[in-house]
Amino acid sequence: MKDSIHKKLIGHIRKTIGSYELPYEPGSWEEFQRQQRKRKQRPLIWFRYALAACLLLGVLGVPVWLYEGRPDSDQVAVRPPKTGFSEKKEGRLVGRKRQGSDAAESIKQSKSLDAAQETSLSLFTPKSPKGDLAAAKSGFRKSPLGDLGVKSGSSESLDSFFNTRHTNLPAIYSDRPSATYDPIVPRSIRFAQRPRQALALPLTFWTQQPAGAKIEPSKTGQKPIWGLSLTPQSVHAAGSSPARALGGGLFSEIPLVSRFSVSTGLSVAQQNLGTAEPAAVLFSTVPQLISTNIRLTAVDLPLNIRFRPKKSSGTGFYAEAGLSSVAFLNEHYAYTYEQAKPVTILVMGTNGQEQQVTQYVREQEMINRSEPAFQKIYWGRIVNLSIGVERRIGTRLRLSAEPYLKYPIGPFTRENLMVGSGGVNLRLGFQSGK
Amino acid sequence: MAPDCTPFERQLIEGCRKGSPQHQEMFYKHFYGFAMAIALRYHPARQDAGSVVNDSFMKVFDRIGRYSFDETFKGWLRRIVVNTALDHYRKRVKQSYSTDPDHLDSQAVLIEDAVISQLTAEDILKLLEHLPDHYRMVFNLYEIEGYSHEEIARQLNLSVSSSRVYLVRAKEKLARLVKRYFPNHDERFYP
Repeated sequence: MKDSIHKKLIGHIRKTIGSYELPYEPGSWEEFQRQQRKRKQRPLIWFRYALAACLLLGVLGVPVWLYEGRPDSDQVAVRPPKTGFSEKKEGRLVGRKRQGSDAAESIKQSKSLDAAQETSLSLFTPKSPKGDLAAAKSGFRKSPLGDLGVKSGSSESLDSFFNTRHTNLPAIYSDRPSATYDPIVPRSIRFAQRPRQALALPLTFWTQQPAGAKIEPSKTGQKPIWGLSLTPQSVHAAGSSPARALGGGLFSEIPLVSRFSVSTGLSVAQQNLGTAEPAAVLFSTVPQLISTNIRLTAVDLPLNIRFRPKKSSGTGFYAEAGLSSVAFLNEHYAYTYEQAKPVTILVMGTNGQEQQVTQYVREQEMINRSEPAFQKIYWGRIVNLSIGVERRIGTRLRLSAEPYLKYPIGPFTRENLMVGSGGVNLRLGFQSGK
Repeated sequence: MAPDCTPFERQLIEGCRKGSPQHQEMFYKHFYGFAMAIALRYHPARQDAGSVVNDSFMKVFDRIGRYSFDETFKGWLRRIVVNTALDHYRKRVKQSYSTDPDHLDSQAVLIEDAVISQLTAEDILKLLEHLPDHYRMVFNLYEIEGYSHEEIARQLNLSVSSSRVYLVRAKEKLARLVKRYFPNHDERFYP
């Protein structure tokens, strides 16, 4: 009894299910395309990230390279020499330094000098700071030693040392036929008088000297800036025409080093896009997607590095590059499908009788779909590139206009769109502190 | 030419072999219902079934060049959909394996013949939805696809005896479900 019921039931299931087919659901093909794109884009995304990293390195690296390469790039900008040092003299001085270094080695080996002398000689080694030569060129009236007050105490012992040196060194070099030794003139003795501690001090210590080009903290933005931004922009996605949008938000600029700062913030923009699908091949009874209207409320979280070229510090010009992460407060999609639907109408036949005729009529159907807020955060999907000009209003306010370009390096949104934008960022900033 | 292929379907297959996106779209829309009906038997949740269908079509578009017109096209497509459904099931089983507390009920369930014959495809899918996953898999593979218990055991990583037991339990449960949801012919059709 039980088996016969099971047999009947299974027989019916096989018969019914075997020939069962569901109608096509609108949007399935588009969903399939999305999944297919996603799968294909996966390796492409990594390639794009690598490309973006190279671009960012290039954009950031070139200014750094230019900046580092400049001879006056150090914080201490030294005046040109006034003491009448010629190139020849300078060459000699360098030569002497080398000789001095050799001499120091020889002296150490022979151990003929006392400890004080050895200490002083070691100052001639190439370990001396970069600024030595420049400092020498600048004249000893402006020597940092004057500021330090080291002059009196140590100069006596050094004078005595150099007197000794005058007599001892030729003897040391007597076995080297090629070595020549010029007695060090007293002017350079004072150059060698820097205390040992001073060598360990950062270069900024020497800014006590008069500098030719001062870096003004107020111009380079040594204090954080906070502010508001308004962004008229043009949004573009693949397959759509550009659409206008307006965004706004908060931003902050935090100084990193002298000419570099981190610029970050949060901006919100409502973007409306429309994508049109290619024309259908056939007049089909299956719904075909013909267009999609997209309304996005995007939250942009940029992280940029700002560079202010020294040359343009007077004009307030800067360049910025970085990455943006995106999330959506609202994603709304309106899909329009077109379908040929059969309609039966009555027509008068040739025999005068009414006849039923099936006609196909195009019908459009709109399906709306919304995604919840912050469904997903798309990290680092957009490359930001911008240049700008900043003007000071009073002591604390700053107004800047910044044309920018946001280029997508990976797809985002439910539809996997590559949404890019361009526009002008108008910023009103407030600098905290004096 | 494949015995079950209409000239239109053959044209679609040829177009897909050439990689034409238009033909792929038409192919997808043409065979969507067929593939979805199979996927829903294995994965009653619409979203899961949709994933199975899309993954199956991706495989079809990748491998359509290998299809020879000697065998029926729908049979070839069905095999791909079933295998994809099994892949999804295996992935899900790894995450969570649920055991059914049901035990064999020796009592016979009496169902009127009229009730059975009036069951629609939607009713059957609804009934299958109430079966535990492993019962449903074994039932579908054995009763509808015609796999042997050995093949099912291999596919689902079960023992042959487990497969047999699951099949018996699935049938029992289906009969009980029919009795529960469609008590008798008159009540259902003449309320």
